[in-house]
Amino acid sequence: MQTSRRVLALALVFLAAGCIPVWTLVDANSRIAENDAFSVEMPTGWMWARYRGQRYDVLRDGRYQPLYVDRVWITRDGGNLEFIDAVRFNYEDAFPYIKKEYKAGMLPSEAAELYIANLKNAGLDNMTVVQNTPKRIAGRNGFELHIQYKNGKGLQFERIADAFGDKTGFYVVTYQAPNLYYYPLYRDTYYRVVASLKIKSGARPGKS
Amino acid sequence: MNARLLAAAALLLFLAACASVQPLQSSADTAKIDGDEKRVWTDARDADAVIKNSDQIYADAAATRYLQGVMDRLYPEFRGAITVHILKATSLNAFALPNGSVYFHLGLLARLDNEAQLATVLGHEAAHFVNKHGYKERESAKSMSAFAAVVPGIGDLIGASSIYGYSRDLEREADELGFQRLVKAGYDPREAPKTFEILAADVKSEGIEEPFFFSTHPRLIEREETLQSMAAARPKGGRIGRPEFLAVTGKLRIAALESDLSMNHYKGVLLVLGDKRRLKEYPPEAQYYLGEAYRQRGDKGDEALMEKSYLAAASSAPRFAPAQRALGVYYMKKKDYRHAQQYLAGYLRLAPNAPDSGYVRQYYNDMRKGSGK
Amino acid sequence: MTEKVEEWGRQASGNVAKSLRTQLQSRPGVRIVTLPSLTRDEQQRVDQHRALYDQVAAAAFEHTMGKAGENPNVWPHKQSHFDYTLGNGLKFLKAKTGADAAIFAVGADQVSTGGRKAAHALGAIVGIHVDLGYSFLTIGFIDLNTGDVLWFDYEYYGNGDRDMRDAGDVDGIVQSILENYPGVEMKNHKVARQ
Repeated sequence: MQTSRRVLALALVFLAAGCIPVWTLVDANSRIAENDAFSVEMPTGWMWARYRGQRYDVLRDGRYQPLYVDRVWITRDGGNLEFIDAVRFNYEDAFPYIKKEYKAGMLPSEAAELYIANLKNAGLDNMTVVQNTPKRIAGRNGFELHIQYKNGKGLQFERIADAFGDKTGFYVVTYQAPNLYYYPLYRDTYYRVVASLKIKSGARPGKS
Repeated sequence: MNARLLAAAALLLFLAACASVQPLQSSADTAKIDGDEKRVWTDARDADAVIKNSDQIYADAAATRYLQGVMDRLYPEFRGAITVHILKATSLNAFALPNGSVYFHLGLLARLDNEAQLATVLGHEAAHFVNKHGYKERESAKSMSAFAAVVPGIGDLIGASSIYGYSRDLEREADELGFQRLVKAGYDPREAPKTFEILAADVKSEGIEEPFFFSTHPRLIEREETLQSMAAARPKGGRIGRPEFLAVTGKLRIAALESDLSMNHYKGVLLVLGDKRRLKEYPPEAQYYLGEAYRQRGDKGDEALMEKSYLAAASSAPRFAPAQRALGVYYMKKKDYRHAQQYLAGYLRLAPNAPDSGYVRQYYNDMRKGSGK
Repeated sequence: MTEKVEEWGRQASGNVAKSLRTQLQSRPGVRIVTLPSLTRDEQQRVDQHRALYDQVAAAAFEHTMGKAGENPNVWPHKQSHFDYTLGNGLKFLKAKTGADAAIFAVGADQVSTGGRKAAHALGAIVGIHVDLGYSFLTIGFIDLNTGDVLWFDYEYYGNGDRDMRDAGDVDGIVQSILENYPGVEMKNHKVARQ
């Protein structure tokens, strides 16, 4: 039993490492996405990128290196258009591009500041923060950011990030879409996903 | 058989790379660009479009005009062909595209001390354009990469020396031409080597080997020494232009501080505002930014320095809201709720609609309710 | 290394435009309308939608072109219910020109220089593969009223077999793509190529 589970775990790691895409179409019977840390309810008709379940790639020294996280990444039309991404980070992995950690009990405004700095250092240095407010998410004190940036062809993208930290880790749910036509279309869908976020009581501690 | 074939290929490609390239003499020459040279211009124009479309240009018409004016004084015969833009980027860098577009990072502009230093950098960048260094590099890279496609492994060794960016020789050439222009336009040549002191100080404070831009350049110290000896050979005197430079760059120097802090790049802020001589060139509220830098660094002893800076900003600039918020949050975390509420209330009075007022209201109300967080 | 050559690009896109016009005009019920000069605002709106089209086309290409069994990124449900759209922001073009649909042709062509061809030959001797170039063209029909991508298809030729600077080569590529084009009655056509 244990051997086969380990083999399965290894297989999943190899799958993730090889990045062979595995997609699941969300239907009425498969709406809940669950992992060790949290669950969310996904909208039907969207595609769940299962191969992104544990990997979060960070560009370091010119190469993409994986962080191991709990993650649910979904899109309706393709990542070039829109996506919703829910991730749990260990405290020490929360802000990898500025080499800072999330600290238990941090003020939401402080966490927001580090999140913004991290995102800018990750490559979105020409982004504008159009809103930065405190918000209760999944029963915790967190923050919500609205960010805008333009790609090289002048297409503006809008992004919402809802995030908080608790004793089990640092959580971020993100929605991004082009401002033209797409962003308003699925914004309510995004907020329903955020509202459905449940942190598991047995989730491992934030400090690994 | 293979070795002889490869040797023959190497010889052919080496000869191709040595074709002579004439520098531009004036704006009029830019109309005569054709053939292979036209392609680097096409790519440069595409880069211009991407920079503009993705909102990377820092909009400060007066500062941009000022930089353009200095450039036109350095290269009068190229007026209209060289266009200077300021980029929002916070790193210390500047680059020239082969089509005459020169981009000056906000980070570097904010770190310079005077007009002569500005002219040093502008003179150097435009020299790359005038001497067609971009095109030269592309041509030599092409030969190398074609060779590399045939024999992987050796290609990497060749590539490591100069595929992306300019070579040591071309940088030296640009330093020399830039220096000649600096002197010709009447600037004090002794300011030129100081530009490299600034760059070296930044590299040291950031603790990095050398930033990408300068890793393809000859070492900063080497270049600084070369310029020092060139300057020493010149008579003393010349335009420095510190008051004008500081006046025009006042707003953008604050913007650079804010940008740096928004990216958690506190080292650069400490380098500038930790220097008493430079701190004087900023308005009194700059003490707040110094405090923020101490807070971000968070080393032993920084808390006291941070509090001192915030208090200095609050007393010398009482209508500057951010200092009030900073003190309010600091005292709240120390559980000094009386002072915390006093400062947070002050913030909300000064900036009731500030984008982050939501946090401040929540913290203030929570304290009033007695929960403290 | 690759280098962009503006004149060649202009030549290739000129060939594509001419080919499309000739081949579509010969079909019953089709009239080609040239895009007229636009005000600055209108041009900006078109540019924005062009930039959006790039995202939409890339997504449509990635997730509906090919065989689901072979390519894990191909989504069968999107192939059978192809609902990619730009939104109705280009409606003003319908009012301005009377056109029902807009055609977006986006492609790329890479040709090898003498040096690369020599490297290819040399590579063949020492047993290393060197790419000789490719031709890639996508064509999308957009309903100007709704922004819906009515039809989308592509062709790809590797090995430097085609050169889009050559009008004849382009005629062949466009013909190959339009072979699958179902014609003017495409309101109900939502099936992308399998």
